[in-house]
Amino acid sequence: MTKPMTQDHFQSPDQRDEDAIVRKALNTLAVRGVSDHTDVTWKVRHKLSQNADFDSSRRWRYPLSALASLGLLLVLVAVGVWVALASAGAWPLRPSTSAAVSKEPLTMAEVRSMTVSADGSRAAFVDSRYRVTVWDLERERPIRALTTVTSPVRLLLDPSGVKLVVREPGQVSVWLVDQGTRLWQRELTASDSIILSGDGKWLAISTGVVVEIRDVQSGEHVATFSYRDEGVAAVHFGYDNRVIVVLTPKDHVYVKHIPAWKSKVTP
Amino acid sequence: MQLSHDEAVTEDESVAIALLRQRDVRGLEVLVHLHQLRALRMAFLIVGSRDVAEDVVADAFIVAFERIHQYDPKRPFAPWFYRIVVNLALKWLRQNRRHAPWETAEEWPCDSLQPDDVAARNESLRAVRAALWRLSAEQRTAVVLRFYMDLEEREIAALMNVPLGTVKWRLHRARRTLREVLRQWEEAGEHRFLRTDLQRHDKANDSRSFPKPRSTR
Repeated sequence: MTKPMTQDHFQSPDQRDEDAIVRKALNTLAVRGVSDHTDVTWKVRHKLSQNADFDSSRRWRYPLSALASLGLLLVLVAVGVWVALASAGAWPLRPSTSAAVSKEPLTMAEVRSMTVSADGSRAAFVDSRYRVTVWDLERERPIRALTTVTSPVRLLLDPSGVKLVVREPGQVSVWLVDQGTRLWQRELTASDSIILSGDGKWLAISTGVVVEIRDVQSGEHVATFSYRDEGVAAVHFGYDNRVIVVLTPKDHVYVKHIPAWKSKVTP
Repeated sequence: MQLSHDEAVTEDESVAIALLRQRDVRGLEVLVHLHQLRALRMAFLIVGSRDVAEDVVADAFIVAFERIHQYDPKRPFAPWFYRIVVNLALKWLRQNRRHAPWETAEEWPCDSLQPDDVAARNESLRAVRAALWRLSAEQRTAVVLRFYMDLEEREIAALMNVPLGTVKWRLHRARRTLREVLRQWEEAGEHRFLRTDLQRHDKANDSRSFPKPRSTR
């Protein structure tokens, strides 16, 4: 039985090669872009419920729409008058406080936790699908994403947003955002808490009785401070990031100097 | 629409469609399960964003639910549904012309790859993405339907509701644009990174009931 004729029979070998490459490229992009486990069922349900709510309320909302439109018109007129007066010098306009923040809402599904780098250039979010996304706030677009197995409970960015600390229930991991590589990770218990120094150099891990300081770049142990008699209620880094301040449940405050330390890891 | 898919509507699908006709949303869940992955990937390639693709596909399922009475049960469901997805994706692109494509984040690399390999792979993928986004939305859609969905040109014309000659022209122009970057991509040895992905992709496709195109000549 002869093979049925298809469009490929009318193509040159070169063109068939190119088509095969395009197929592979598209397949790769598609598989990398959308994982096998992606599921829009919840989103369909959500949209369905929204539609149902709208349908059920459409009838009684209709008579109110004219009033709502009138109200909106009045608000717009008031805003227009205010802007006109302000630009004429009657009232000073306030400077914008959100210059570095996207004008458009960030397209994340049910953001659960977030952090912003100290310089305001980057933000990291975790959504309901355990996906951590780092956004470049100046260019207003996402730059990296990480899908974790368990739900991250805390995110920390270093001052410039270059390093991202992801705290999951059973571990902490540190990532280089631009390279998309993990620097290190360490197992933790669910009750351990973490804090990043202001300069992004140290990570303090509090187990409740012990405070451990680690180098953010290498994950190496730097120092351990024990408070087994009193426990640890809260930990903060000092202003110069060379001391840690520990508050105990007995309302004692301890200030400890972080010892001089040099990494054993060759850069 | 005269699409040439000759595979019969699967039993699950026909039951689901019957439920939809009775306004029973349980049918929708079956259809979501059957068609979401391929539709999501197709939409992702067209709009260049996973989040947007999810919205587009979810909206497409809602539209299918609302317009199920327009669907001819004698024909396969998939092409009818994919037409909705394509139309919604193109509509979204028209309404969001300033959308920054392919900027949704890449998955971070798995530990099994060396850093150099990861960088090379990411670079190649970025090049392909950039090339794909140099195409117009209509050209890119034609490319995706032809080379990802494996539709014949005649089927693409029917799905996009344009003459066959228009589809041929769009594919010709798209090929010319893509040619150079894809050649470089091929020569960079990207394929060794793809093998696992493609096997997984093929396996996923085999387990789904998307109808294969029938030869037309």
